[in-house]
Amino acid sequence: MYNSTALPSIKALPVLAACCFSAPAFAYEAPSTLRQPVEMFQSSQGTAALAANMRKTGVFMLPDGHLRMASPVRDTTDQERVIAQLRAYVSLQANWDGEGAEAPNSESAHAAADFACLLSASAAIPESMLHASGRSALAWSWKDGSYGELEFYPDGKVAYYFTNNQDKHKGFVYFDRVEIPRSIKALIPTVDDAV
Amino acid sequence: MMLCDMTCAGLHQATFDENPERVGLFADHHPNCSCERESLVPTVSPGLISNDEPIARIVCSPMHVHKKQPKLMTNFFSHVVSYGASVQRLAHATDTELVECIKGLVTGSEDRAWLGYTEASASEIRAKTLRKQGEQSFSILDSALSQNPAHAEIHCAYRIPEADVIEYRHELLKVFGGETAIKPRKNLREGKIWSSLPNAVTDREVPPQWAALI
Repeated sequence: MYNSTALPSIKALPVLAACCFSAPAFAYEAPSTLRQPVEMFQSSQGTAALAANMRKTGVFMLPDGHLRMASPVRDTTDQERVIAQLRAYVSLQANWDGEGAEAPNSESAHAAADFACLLSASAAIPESMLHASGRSALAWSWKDGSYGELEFYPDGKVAYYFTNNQDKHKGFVYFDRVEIPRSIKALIPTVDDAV
Repeated sequence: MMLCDMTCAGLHQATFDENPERVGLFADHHPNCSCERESLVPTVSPGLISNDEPIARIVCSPMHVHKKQPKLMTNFFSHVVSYGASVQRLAHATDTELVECIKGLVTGSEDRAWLGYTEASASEIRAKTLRKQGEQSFSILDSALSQNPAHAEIHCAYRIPEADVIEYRHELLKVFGGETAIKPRKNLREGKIWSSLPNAVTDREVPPQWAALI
């Protein structure tokens, strides 16, 4: 059975997303009675992306206009898994790799987790990584062999490198932890592009 | 003695396992990969590293592998800009030395298991030119250890801007065949190394995504 949890209003959706309810992977098939209102919402409002996000988060609009969240008991999504990994890095000690790695930097790990939290439903979920410098990183691999990585510095800088074996984009941007920098957003693969 | 006055061997002794700036110091004080032409510990070294030597890096940390796929992550080569990335010279390592090396790596932490190894030739590593044509980007130093004479390490050959570090790690991983080019552990020396390892190593649990590969 799917439990329902009443949610305040549609205006709360961006807030929910920021709080990491925007899980990208749908762990179960929702019953058709719940799926149908989403389709109604999608066609009536014309905001396909929002409707898709609702489907992936397990948030549904019922015919009476209320939002419901299906099944708070569900599998961990890939996005949540990555965020949890990043947060878990902080508990590691120096030399976690047996080769003299620095202790994980908590500011870096939390910045990376915040970034992962802000990924839209259409974005591919990256793999998390801890470098020997103690800085956390997120990486994507494309089906065509392209590669992208972000490394989070404790002072808010993010080093980026994206390559498709012909072109490459690299440099630094600042991440305010509120919004993904536009220049980076354009480089992140979609769910369909990534491995 | 000041670091700038030191020979390659002296700098090695002064910074080994202690200074995360080690790679940068080698680049500053001995540019153009000049320390490749000197054994850092000549008393135990099997000799300078020739271009045709196979160079291997052992994969044993779960932190270096993808959580869902049998793939390596670029942090496998993080140390190429700090302490140097430790590798094994397969042409010189005896079976016993390889067994001891892998045993030491795996038993150093409970979360580790021997997953496999990656391999490239010294010439492939030295051929990488990322900054300008003809300028070697990575050096391989003969840093023999008394208990592991075939030990060597890969350094970034010069100091690079922070914005380039991701690219260098990724390019080095590509030299070793890329994310998926992990050789099964039982392939090393036709399985002799695997069969000589103690149960404390071979019984280690392997992440499920590796089951098909190993």
